[in-house]
Amino acid sequence: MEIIEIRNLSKTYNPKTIPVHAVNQVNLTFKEGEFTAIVGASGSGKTTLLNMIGGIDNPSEGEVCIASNNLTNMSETQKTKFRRDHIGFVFQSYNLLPVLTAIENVEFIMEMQGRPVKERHSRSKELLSAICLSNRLHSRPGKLSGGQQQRVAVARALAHKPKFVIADEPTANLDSRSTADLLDIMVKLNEQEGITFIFSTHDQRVVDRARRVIVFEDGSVKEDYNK
Amino acid sequence: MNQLIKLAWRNIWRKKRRSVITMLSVIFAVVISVNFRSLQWGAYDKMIEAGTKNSGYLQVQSQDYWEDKSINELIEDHVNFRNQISSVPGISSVIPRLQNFSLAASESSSKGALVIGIDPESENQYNELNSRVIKGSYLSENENAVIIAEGLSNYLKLKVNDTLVLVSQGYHASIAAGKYPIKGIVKLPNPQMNRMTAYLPLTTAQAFNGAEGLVNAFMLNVSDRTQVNATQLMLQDQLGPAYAIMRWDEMHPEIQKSINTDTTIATLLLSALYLIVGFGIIGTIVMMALERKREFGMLQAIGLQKSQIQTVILLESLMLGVIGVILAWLIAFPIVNFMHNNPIPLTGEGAKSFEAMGVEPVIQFAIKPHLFALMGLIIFLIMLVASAFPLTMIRKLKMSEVIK
Amino acid sequence: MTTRLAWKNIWRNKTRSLIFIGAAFFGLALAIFTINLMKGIAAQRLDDAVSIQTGHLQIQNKDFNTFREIDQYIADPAQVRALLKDQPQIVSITERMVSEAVLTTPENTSIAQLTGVKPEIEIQFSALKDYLIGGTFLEGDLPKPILVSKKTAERLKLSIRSKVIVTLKAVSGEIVGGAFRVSGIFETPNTPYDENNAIVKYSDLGELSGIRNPHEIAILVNDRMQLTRIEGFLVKNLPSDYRHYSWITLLPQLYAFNGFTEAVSMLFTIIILLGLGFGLLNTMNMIVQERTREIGMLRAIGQSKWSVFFMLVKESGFLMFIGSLTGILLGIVIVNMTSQTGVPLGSGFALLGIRATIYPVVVWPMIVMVCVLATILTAIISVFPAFRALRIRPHAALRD
Repeated sequence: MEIIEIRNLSKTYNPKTIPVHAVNQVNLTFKEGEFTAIVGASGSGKTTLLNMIGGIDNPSEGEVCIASNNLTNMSETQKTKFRRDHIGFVFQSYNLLPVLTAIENVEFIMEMQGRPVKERHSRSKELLSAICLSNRLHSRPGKLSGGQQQRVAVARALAHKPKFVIADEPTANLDSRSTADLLDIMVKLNEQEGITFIFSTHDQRVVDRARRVIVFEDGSVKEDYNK
Repeated sequence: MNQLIKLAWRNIWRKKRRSVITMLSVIFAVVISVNFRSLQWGAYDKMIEAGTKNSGYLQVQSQDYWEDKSINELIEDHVNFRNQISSVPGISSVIPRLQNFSLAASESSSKGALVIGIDPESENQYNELNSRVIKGSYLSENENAVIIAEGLSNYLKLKVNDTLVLVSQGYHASIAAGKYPIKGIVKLPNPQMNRMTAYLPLTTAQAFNGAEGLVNAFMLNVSDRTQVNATQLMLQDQLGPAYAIMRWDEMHPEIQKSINTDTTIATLLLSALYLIVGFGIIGTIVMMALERKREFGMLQAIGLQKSQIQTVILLESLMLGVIGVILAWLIAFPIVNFMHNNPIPLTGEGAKSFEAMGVEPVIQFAIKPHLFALMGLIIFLIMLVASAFPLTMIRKLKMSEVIK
Repeated sequence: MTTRLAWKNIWRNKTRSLIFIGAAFFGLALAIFTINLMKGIAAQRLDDAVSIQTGHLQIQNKDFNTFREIDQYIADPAQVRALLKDQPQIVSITERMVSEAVLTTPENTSIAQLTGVKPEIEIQFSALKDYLIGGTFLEGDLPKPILVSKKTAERLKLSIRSKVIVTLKAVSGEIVGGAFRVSGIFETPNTPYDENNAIVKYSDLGELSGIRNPHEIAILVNDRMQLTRIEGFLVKNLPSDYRHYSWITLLPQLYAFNGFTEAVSMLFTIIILLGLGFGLLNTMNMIVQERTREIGMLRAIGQSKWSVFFMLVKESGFLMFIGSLTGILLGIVIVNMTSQTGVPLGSGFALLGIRATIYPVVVWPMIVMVCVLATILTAIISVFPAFRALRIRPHAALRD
């Protein structure tokens, strides 16, 4: 089943002076359960594309539909609520609230949604054990390594069972060992939970683990293949 | 909401040193300003007390008396009239007086004097005049005797049991003259009064002035000073337009003005303090917001509404302020309370400046809950102003620009 | 080197530095203005009271201040005048005669201290002429002119040219009376003074009371600081029949008010600088915290820890210096501007002996005091965060 449909999506900076087409007339669809890497050099427009898919940035043209909800027509408030309920995010850094413990960070969105305590606890414990951090439930991010922090971020992104997870260069700041661990976990969770992952990277080791690869160049899709 | 409160609470302890210094500055400003103003209010209360001791909180007079204080503007002292006055709620005592300027003379010299006819008992109940007698004894009702103030007795070189001669113009231009044995000498706190006052029993004063059954004023004591305005209105209603009801602050405008000047200067000085402390708080909160731009972007991306992020920020600044203010109250109150219960007597030149106004020369803090509330409110407002920057920043924040 | 670095550093975070500088700027400007206004009020009350009532110094018969009898006058005023002639600081001398009196009109009676003055001298000496609201200062063709206050005029229903009977005890012991005519009505800001005083001509009072000599010789000097010297001179040379009193003895409440003003200015300067200290402490703390790595780097490339310490102290110094200096300057500018235009306090303040408009003057010793205190405070406060920086080791730069 297709959960994301992108039609004629464009993003143009400085449209009046010197137009820069960060994303140019992109058409893409993503199916449920896919594990997709968007590959491209920095400046290729992949972050802008991911931001538009996640409703963080507004397209100049075209539209993004998620499970037949047209993001482009939503108000800022509606979009924010939509992101909270249906999309998970993992960023390159600054993912976690430094004042909350690992488990509190994972629970954070569910708590904002007003889910019952029991459900929250069991779900976050389950995820923290899946990412092998059962022994660090009550550590704050400052006490965790970069790789551990990114794993918590993945758990946080999945906790409320979103329709899909967007991860923009999740491994950019990690060493190769942590990168491998993080990808193991992403792959495992993608299989266990059946949640769609879309992540950007320019690291060949990460690309190797993806099942679908979209090569992005100068704001357009250059290649799109399944492995 | 609980979630947001938890987040705000933890955030203020994220940079402990900074939050503690900010709270200390709040505590400093509130403790200083509450104490400073309590000290001043203590002095104001003393001034008001000194003024009202000699005038009452309210006075009933004939309509035109206050204008020229003429001996011809008198009112009848009748038991029904006194009852009518005391029937108004809030009035605790009614003290009649008949006063007139007069030339007071001894064998050797003479001096202008203020001769006040008093009802010895009710006067004493109100202002403890008896306790101010330093030689001889206090007056009793109807007797033909006078007590004079210390300064006047020195000037006229008169002692207890000497005779005082009073000459004046009495009621309706009659000649007022009399000789009175001096029964006692009183030391009055107001130096001006101490130089010129003589007290006669009311009936003796009425006879002297040729004004039998007449008084120029009833001094009234009230049970609640803060309700004086309301009592004044009710009394005016009760007595009708033939009488003037004067409030203490109308009779002693100098006290009110003195309080006003003092308050103006204090307000300017404390504004400077709050301005500085306020800037410090604004600086802290602005820095806090600027440092956390990315965090705000991230929160919005993962699904917090801007209004929710703004709530967190507002809660953070209010918590800083509220904790600071509560601690400041806890520190300020014992100090104010101690200085209220243990007044410090003044000596030297400082004492003279109090005495010149007839005010007891002590430093005694007043306990005024409104000062605590006011200083708390100022901090609260500073916190709201300080939050304006981060709140605007969040409103204008573009997620895609701050997260990466 | 560290000086230049410190200067550049404070502009790295412009917002923060400007907020701190703004606090010092506005806070100190307001404080300087208020303190000078307060001093202006004190000075004006004093100048008025001194010129109208006592003079900076006053010479009396040795018993007069205690008994105030009409015959306790200065027996040989010429001798006193000769004594004072060579004192360069003395600006003005006036001789006055004083008597208690009862003022009567058909309407009412009042009591007053009657002062007999020589109008041509008094008009130079006393600020009372500034407060005339009608008529003239005992000038014109009225026989036996008298100046009464507005208060007295209202109570006795007097207007210009109306008649008032003055009764007093003459030197012979007799009670004597005379009719005077109102030549002028004054209203000073000092209500108690107004309620108790009336002014007549020296010669008229002398004629009525039967004396010729003054009870007091009042002196104005050009510099209050010189008073002790003149007093020292008088102690040595004044005949023992006479006493001299300074304004401090005669106006103890104003002396106390001046002292109180000094104390409050000093106290508030300290309080305001302490308040500023919290801001500085916070700013410096943030700086040290943010720059842990950078300071570690500076140490790693060979800067000594004391050089880092002084760099941070200099940063505090610059922040405080810019903020307080500009604040003090703004304060001085406002004071100077208002010393031309005046600060309207409203006529309500009259009852306290305060003029409706105050002309504050810059009090330089106070400005110097503010600067000195600010410097001391900056030095003390900047040391704490700088000490924290001393503990930063070079390897801090390498930490993640």
